[in-house]
Amino acid sequence: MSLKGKEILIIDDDTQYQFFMNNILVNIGLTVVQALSYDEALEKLTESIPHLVITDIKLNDEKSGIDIQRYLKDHPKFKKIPVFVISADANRQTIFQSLALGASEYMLKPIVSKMLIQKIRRIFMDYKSPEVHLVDEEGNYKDEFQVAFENDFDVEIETDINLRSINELSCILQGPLKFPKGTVIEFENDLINKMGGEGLGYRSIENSRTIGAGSFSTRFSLIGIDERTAQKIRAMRVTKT
Amino acid sequence: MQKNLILTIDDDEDFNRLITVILKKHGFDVITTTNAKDFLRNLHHKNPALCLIDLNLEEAFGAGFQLIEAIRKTKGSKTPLFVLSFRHDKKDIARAIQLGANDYIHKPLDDLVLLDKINQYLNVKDPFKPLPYFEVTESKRRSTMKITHKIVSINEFGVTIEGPSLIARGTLLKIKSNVISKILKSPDQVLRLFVTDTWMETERNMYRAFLEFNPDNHDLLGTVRSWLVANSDN
Repeated sequence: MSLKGKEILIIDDDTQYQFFMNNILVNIGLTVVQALSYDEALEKLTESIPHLVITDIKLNDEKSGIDIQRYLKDHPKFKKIPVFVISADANRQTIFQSLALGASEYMLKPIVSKMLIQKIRRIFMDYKSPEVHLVDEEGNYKDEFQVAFENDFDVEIETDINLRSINELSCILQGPLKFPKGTVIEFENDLINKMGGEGLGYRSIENSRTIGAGSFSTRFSLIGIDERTAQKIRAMRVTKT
Repeated sequence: MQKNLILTIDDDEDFNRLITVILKKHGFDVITTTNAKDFLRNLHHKNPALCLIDLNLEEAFGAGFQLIEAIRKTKGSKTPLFVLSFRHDKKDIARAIQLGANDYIHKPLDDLVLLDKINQYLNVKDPFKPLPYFEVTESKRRSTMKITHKIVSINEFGVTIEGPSLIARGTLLKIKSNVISKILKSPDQVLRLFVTDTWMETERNMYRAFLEFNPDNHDLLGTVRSWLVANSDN
């Protein structure tokens, strides 16, 4: 899996160690945020939610890495962030306490960069990234989202498509969309606009035909054509043949 | 052989005479009416094959809309209805189609277009073939289209949308959505996203597509992630 764009918060009071970690992690595409103390860590957490927290146990103030773990666990926003403890503290009790609080890994300093990267990959492999389903299994929008989004779940999609041919009644469009019969689309083409067809409606007369990999051809009827535009299209056909 | 009957409503008597001549010449029977009462009486008793409706009737400006709606409610969708009007507004076309009109033809009338469109709806197998197509030269083909689908789920990497049309993998889309604007707290936000996956929801006969966020857009990813963490239950 890609590590690109994943954000890691490193909490450690040792600036040299921070520098060393930063080099390794930025190199493999991660974004690194650094905090030298408990308080600074909390401050960074208000700015963005990291994908992983790497913390030392002994910090520069009264608080420890264990307190960081407790804080994350107590806050619904943070409680699912995996925690990776890297510490020189080999005290069995500390290790057990940290693991009991849900640490994904507990590694002793000094560390080897290869091992560090492998452990981080492992953590991300196990980690299920958050997903929000706006609909239930039957495809109905859930109540809370109906309220939050005022029942407007529309996505207006705009994309390029080719006008292959045209007559007074219909046109053939080719592009990456496969439409069922009866689909109404909005369509803009300079040639048609020049002939006075800006306001035309377009509805597919048939299901699209596949003409290649990811390429489809569809006939659309021109809705609302006026005499002037029809004549111009007809004239174009006559001059051509 | 029995001729197809076409019933029209228009308060312009001159226009009624003109359309009678055109349609009779091409083998149709025609009844023209000038008000909704006569029109509805003929609709129920004469069983026309197709109706032409003017939008602006004597009764009221835009009364044709109400007529279309009423016909669709009482008679169902069987009889093809064409709207004829001087009105050129895109919204009028959209509204007429939404209410159940099959097509919209502008005045002044182009009789060839009208006849072709009528034939298209009256048991003519493939009315589009007889009219030859003009092939558009390469440089003039490029066009843009818009269609509306629905957003169904969001994760850190992108959004899943659903609709009746399939969008091929690799397509670049410009999208605008109330849901995304609200999450990003940025009204009218337009995103350019690639379709990286597409599949069919067989039970509902709908297509889904996954549109991926740009991994370099850290601001967007951060905001989406905060929202996801606050709203997800996994």
